[in-house]
Amino acid sequence: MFGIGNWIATILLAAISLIGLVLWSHAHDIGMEIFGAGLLFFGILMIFRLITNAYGNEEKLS
Amino acid sequence: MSSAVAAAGTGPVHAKHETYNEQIVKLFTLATVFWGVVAFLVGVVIALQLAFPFLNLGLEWTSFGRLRPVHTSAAIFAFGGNALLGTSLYVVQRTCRARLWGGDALAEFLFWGYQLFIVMAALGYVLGITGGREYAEPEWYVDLWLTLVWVVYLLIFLGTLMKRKEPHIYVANWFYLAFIVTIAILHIGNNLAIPVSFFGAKSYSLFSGVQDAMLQWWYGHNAVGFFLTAGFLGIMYYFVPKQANRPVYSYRLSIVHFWSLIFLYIWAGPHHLHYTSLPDWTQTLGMTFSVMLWMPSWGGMINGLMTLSGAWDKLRTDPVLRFLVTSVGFYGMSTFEGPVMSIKAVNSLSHYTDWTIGHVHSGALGWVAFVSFGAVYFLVPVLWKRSGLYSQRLVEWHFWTATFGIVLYITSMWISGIMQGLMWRAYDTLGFLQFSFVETVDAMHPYYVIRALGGVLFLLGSLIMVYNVARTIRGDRRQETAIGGATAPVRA
Repeated sequence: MFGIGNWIATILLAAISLIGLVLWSHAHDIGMEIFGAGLLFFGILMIFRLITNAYGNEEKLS
Repeated sequence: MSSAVAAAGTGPVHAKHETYNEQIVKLFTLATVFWGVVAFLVGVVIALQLAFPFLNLGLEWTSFGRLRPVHTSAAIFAFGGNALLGTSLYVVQRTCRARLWGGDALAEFLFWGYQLFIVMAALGYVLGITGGREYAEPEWYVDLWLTLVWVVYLLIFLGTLMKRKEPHIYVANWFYLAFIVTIAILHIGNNLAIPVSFFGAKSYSLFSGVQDAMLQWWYGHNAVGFFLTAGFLGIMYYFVPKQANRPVYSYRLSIVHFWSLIFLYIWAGPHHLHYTSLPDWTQTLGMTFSVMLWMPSWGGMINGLMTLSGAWDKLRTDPVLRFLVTSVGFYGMSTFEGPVMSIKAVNSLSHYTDWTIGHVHSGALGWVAFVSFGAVYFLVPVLWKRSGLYSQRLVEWHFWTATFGIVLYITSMWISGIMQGLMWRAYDTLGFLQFSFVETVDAMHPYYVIRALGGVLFLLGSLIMVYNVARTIRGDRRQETAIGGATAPVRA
């Protein structure tokens, strides 16, 4: 089950991804471009992990 | 008291390990091994660059100036940091008999967030993006990210301590907590900066001139004191008693040396700025506190070594314990050398020379890396539920290869550094400098080659560890005769 804790984590990670997207799109230099892209993909991949872990746990229980 | 408390921290909790979050410790352990090899490899490259400058390849990305912080950060924050985070999360769960606070997702955020910090910092160095502060080179945006990750780390650690089922907080956790809290303060204080733009990498320090230098070395020396000392003492206080199967020699001494160490260390930074525009009294203060640090440092060393009372024979048969105990010996040696070098008269010779590099590496390789190797060799069979390591003989090979590498490294740097300092201050009968700068550089060449050779041996040892760890994780066990006539240790 995707509990309330996971939903809060997802919202925070989505915010991190969004900040990454903004930094990437407005970056003045290569360093900020890489950092923005890094945050964006970090947030997305962590949300993906949350979803797979939650469904994996459900499958284990069933 | 000592045996009772040590037993509480290291005793019968083994049976309940399935309730702990071991997955995250596994990840940190693998990251420790991976980043260790990266750090040692880059170290060998830059050592060779100093001996043979054409290896800079004529490219800015591979120049010594950009690769040097990659090496130092990979060694301190990537290799050492992952070892500290992994072992602290293992130790706090075992000694508190509690699963990590915040759930598995938060621990996973900590792991991947920390790896993102390492990658972002390293990419920045190679691209020439640097705050120019030693051991704190990342620019403001990477610093902010690390702050967020570190707060999560503090919450997980503190939360686990607070929900502990064990009434006593084992001393290793005190050291880990001092490391986490103080590094947070140092990191924020030293990296206060104003970005040129929120969408650009460049920033400028909030401080300037001698205040900036003072703050930098308040951070720099306490990075040594709280990251590379207090944190790794936490490793020592858990893994040496566990591997030796003996209680801590004196629990009272561990508490006394904890409080004295954390009180004294924070004042010692100014010894990095002897004979500069820093006020003289501040330099003397830094020197005095550095000399006083002898006592708590050796208190820790004695406590670590004496834990083997009644079990010294195990050194002949257990190479993992040998790693741990040798690391404590190196800790004692480098914490003796450090205060000596902080004395102004000695510093007038040693400062800015390779002696400092030799000193740093006797601590970094002999103490930090060896105690981490010992912890990794202890953890891998436990975490992957194996009866023992793939090969004790390979641990022995790793030990001697790395030890020989360290000896080559530090002795060449001592000789090179003292020679360098003496050449810089040599005057002829007319009062002119006897040597030009380039003559001193030329004289150091053979020692740079020897140093690089020492680094190659140390790297080779770490590759032996990678192979041994990989085969252990696969579940293999090498048929081999026991070391020193003893049977190889088998874990239940």
